[in-house]
Amino acid sequence: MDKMKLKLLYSDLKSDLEVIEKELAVAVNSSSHLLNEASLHLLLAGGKRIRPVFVLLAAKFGNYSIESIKNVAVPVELIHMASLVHDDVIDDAETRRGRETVKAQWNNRVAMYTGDFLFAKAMEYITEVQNTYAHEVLSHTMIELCIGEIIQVEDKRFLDQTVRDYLRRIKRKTAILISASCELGAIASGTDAKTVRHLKLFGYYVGMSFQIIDDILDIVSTDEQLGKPAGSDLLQGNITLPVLYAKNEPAVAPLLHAMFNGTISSDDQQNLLKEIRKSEGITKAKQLSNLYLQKALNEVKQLPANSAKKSLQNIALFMSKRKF
Amino acid sequence: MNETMITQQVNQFKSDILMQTRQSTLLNYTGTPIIDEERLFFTLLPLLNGEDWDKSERISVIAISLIFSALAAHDLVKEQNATSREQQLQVLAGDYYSGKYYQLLAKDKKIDLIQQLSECVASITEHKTRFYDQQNYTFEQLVGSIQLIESKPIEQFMEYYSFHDYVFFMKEALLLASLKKEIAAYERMEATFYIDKSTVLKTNVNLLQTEIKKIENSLIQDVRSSELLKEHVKHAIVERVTKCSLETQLREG
Repeated sequence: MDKMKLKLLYSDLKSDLEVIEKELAVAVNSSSHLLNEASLHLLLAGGKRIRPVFVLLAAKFGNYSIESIKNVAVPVELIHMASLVHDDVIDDAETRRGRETVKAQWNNRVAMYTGDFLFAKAMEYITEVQNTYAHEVLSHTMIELCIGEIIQVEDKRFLDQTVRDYLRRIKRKTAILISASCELGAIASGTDAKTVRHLKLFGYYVGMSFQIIDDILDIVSTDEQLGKPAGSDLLQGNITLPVLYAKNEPAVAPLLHAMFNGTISSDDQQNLLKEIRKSEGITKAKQLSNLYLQKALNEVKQLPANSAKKSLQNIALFMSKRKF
Repeated sequence: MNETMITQQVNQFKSDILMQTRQSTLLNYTGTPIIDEERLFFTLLPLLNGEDWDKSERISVIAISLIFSALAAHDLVKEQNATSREQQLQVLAGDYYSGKYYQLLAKDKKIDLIQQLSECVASITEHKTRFYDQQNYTFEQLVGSIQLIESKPIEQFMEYYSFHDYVFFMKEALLLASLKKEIAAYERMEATFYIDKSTVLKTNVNLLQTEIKKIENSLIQDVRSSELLKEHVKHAIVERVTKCSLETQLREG
């Protein structure tokens, strides 16, 4: 993703995002030299910080105070970071965002401890929020996030899955944390129930659109643009929406079966990617992503007028139209 | 309360914990979560000794056991090549149990306890990495780390519910149990969790054995002379401590 453009979009939040960035550095500070190194390694790798941005923007619909809202924005990013470290163990990933993963630089066990440390730190922060419902939301989100990942492992290399299976999986894997970021930001700032509901739905639809785009980009982008090998999902056995839509096309089907039978050559792996890129799968997946984007924008329309409303709209549009 | 009733209590809690963690895919690939019965027994000391105990204490004990199950699941992830489906799901099992512990306490509105337990988990991970980094730790520091890793959340639970007087017995007993398991595995040339990763411990196995004897003798003496513990609890503790004596563990292999 073009991070510069995105940063321009949330330039109104610049000083508050600096507070969050500093607080993230404080949060991952540890008495363990090794955990410090591993956590800072993650922090320096950057990231879009899209979840904290949604927390802050949603909080703008209530009584906004960065001092209290940081206790929501920091933990959602820490949870996201922790799940990425654990994902890299699951995927045996060597690089992420162009840098070595924690598991590659140290080992799986250190990655497990780093993730556990970040989860624990996230919970230390969020417990500054006294609203008990917020904790029910976040704990439910964390469980659903896990179930999404569990289903993903279970569904690997299973070609008979449906689009619905895929959508249910990405709802849990991605959309629910973005939705919770919006919901929690709004709850923590005392936003009225109706607005909370619209923000929660907005987050869900944006999350769905975002993940579909992510899955398209995994196929159509270059290694350099992604900071990891293109087509990683497919190589891992994860069947994403473009693949599901393209799987029965004559040029794709035999290569796909060969891939999952383990009989494919490395040249044919590249041919498979090329065929999916040319297929209707990409177009159809973009259409579905757009549908979710429209639903997200409809939710924004129903929000009370304020500066955050326009920002939410712009970020949603940008995220769903990004090129990498 | 006799030994049979104690076993029933422990088993009841165990089945309550398993109820919380039922997830079909995890059950298929990773089995039921690891629940250390000895640790559970020492967590339940106040209840077994007749202290007032209501729903909140019950829920909190289940939550604490889930924390240990989560950490234990992650300890089963191999240092390299965790690529099998079982290993991948072991990663997720730990995260799932963590989420469950948080949800359980959130529903019971125990936000302050969640905060304290989160600090314990962060601290445990910091002490676990002592066995992976290149810093020079002393024998005493490493034994201190093992004790914290084995018991910190239970200590926090006992402090939270004002069961302060049980903390010493629980911490010493769990340290003892852990050190004995380590030594026994080491003597049998099996993989150990701590000794394999620490030159200081490896070169001081004799010192570790002396430490075990010292803790065991002093713990048994303290339990027998305790005015807090009831006779059936004293008996149950001493039985557990001596049942898994170092000699027995080595003999039984």
